Amino acid sequence: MLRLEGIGHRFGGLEVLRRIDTSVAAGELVGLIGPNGAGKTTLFNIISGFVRPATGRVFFEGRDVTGWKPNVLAALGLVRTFQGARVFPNLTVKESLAIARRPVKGRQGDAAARVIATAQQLFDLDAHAGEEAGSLPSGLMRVLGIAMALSTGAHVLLLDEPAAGLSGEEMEHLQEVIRQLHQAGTTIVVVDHNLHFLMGLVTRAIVLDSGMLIADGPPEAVTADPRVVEAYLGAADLADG
Amino acid sequence: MTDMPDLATASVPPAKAPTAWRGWLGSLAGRRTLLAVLGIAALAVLLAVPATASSRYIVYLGTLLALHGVLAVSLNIIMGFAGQFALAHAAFYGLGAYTSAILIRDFDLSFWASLPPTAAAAALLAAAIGYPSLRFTGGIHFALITFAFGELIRLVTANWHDLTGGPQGMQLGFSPEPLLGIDFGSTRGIYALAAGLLVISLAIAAAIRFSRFGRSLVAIREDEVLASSLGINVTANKMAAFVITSVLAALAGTIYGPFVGFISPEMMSASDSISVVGMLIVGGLGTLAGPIFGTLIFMGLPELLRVAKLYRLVILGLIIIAVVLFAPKGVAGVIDRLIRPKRGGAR
Repeated sequence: MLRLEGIGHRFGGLEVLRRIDTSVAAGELVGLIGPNGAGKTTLFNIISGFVRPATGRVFFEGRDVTGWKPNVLAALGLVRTFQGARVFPNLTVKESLAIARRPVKGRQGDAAARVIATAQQLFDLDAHAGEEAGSLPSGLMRVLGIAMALSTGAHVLLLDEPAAGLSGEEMEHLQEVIRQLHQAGTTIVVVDHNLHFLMGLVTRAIVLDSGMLIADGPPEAVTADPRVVEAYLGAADLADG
Repeated sequence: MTDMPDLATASVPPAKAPTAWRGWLGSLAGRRTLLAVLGIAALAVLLAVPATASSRYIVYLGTLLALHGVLAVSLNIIMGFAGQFALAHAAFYGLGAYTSAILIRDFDLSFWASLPPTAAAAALLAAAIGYPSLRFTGGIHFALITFAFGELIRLVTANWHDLTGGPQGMQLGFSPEPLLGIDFGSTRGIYALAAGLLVISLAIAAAIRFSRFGRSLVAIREDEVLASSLGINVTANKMAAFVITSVLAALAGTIYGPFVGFISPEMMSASDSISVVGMLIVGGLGTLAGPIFGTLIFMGLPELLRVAKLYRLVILGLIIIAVVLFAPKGVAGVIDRLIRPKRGGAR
C-alpha cells in the first residue's frame, strides 16, 4: 500500500531523516512514535506530498508518487491531518464537512459514510453543525479535522497527533472512531506522543529517533526494546523540563 | 457498537439542548433569505429606476452603476470567494474596451462579433499572469503581479499611438447593432445591455457560490494548506476564478466604449482598480449582495450628492476607513448583524 525507500531529508545542515526504509500493508493500523524532533512530522509531510524528500522514493499503491502534490495524493485516497486543531475557522461545521466530502463509489464509500456517521455521533458534531469551526472547543476542533479527512473517502489516513489535548473521555471516543475506521478497511498511520493512547490501539509500532528508524514490531515488543526506552525516556525528560 | 448511543449522550455538553441548534440553523437560513431579499431589492432599484425614468441623466447614471456593479460582482469572485487580492481589474476593463474597439475599427467586426475574441484575449492574459503568481500561498505575489500588469497595460496603451491613439484616447463611432429586434444603439439600449450583463454576472457568481467550485474557493480563502490536503487543486481553482473575474471585467469594458463614445488609458489606472476593491470592502467581501450595496454606495452616493469626481475619492476614503474600523464585514455584515437574533456569546 505504502512503501518508503531510503527516505532522507535535511533542513539546512541538520539531517532530520536518514535512509528510512519501511512499508505499510493495506488494512494495517500502525503507530509512528518517537521523541520530539525525531522526524515524525517531516516523514508525514513527505508521504503526503507537502515536502519533497532530499533522497529516496515514496510508493503508493505500487506507483512512485515522490514529489506528487498533496491534492493529487488526496484524490487518490491518501489523506493526512495536521497537528493542532487545523480547521476552516470562519466556516460552520456543516460547511467544512461539505467542502471535504467527495463522492466515493462502492463499498469503500459506504464504509466511509458509516464511519463519518459514527464519528459525528460519538463526538456530537451534528449538535454543532451550524457553529463556526473556529469557535468550537479545541477537542471538537481536532475531531472536526479528522472528520473532514474521513469525508474525502480516504483509504489511507495519516493522523498527526490526533489525541493531543483531548480529555480522557474524548480520547476513548477517538480510539473508538479509529478502530471502526480500521475495521471498515482503512489503512491508518497514527503519530502520537501519548504511548498509552497508541498502545491500546495499534497492532504495530514504528519508532523513530533522531531521524533513524530504531524499532519496528508489535507494540509490546517495541516498548520493551532498550533502545526505545532510552530514546523515549531521555527525550521525555527534556520535553517535560 | 451497541453502547455507542450512550457514549454519544454522555459527550453532549449540558448547556446545548438538541433543539437549540435547530432554531439557530433555522434563523440562519432566515437571515440569509432576508439578506438575499434586501440584495435583490437593491438590485431592483438599480435596474428599475433607469429603465422607467425619462431623464437621460438617470439612464446615464444607471448604466454607470450597472457597469461598476459588474466590476464589483466579478472582482468578488477572485477576491471575496477565493481571497486573492487582484489589482488589475480596471486594466481588464480597459483591455476589454480597447480590444473590442480596435477589432471593430481594424477588422470591420460587428460589436457582437468582437465580444468572443475580446473575452478570449482577457482569459488568455488572466491565465498567463495568474499561473506564475497564483502558485504561491499567501497572495502577495498575486497582488504585486496584478498591480504591475495593470500598470504595464496602461502604459502600453498610452504609448502605442498607432494602435490606441496614445494618451489622447480613442473616439468611438460605433454602437451595438440591433439584435433580436432590440435597438441597443440608443442610450436606453446600452443601459439594457449593461443591466443584462450585471444580471448575468450575478447569476454566475451565485452559481459559483453554491457549487463545489465555489466551496473549494472558500476553502482556499480560509486555509490553502488544509484545502490542498483535502484534495482541492488550489492553483487550478484560483486560476479559474481569476479568468472568470477578468473576462467579466473585459465584457463590461466593451459596453463602456459605446456608452461613453470615448476611451482613454485613464480608465485603466491603478486607483480605479483600487476603487473596485473599495466597493467590495464597503459592501461586504465574499457575500452575494455585498458588491451591489458597495456599488450603490460607492458610485451612487457621490453622484446623488452632486459632488464632483475630485471629492468622491475623499468621501470614499472616509467611508472605507469608517467601514474598516466599525463594520469590517461591510454593509452586508452590518445588515446581517442587525437582523441576527440575539444569542449569548455570538459574534
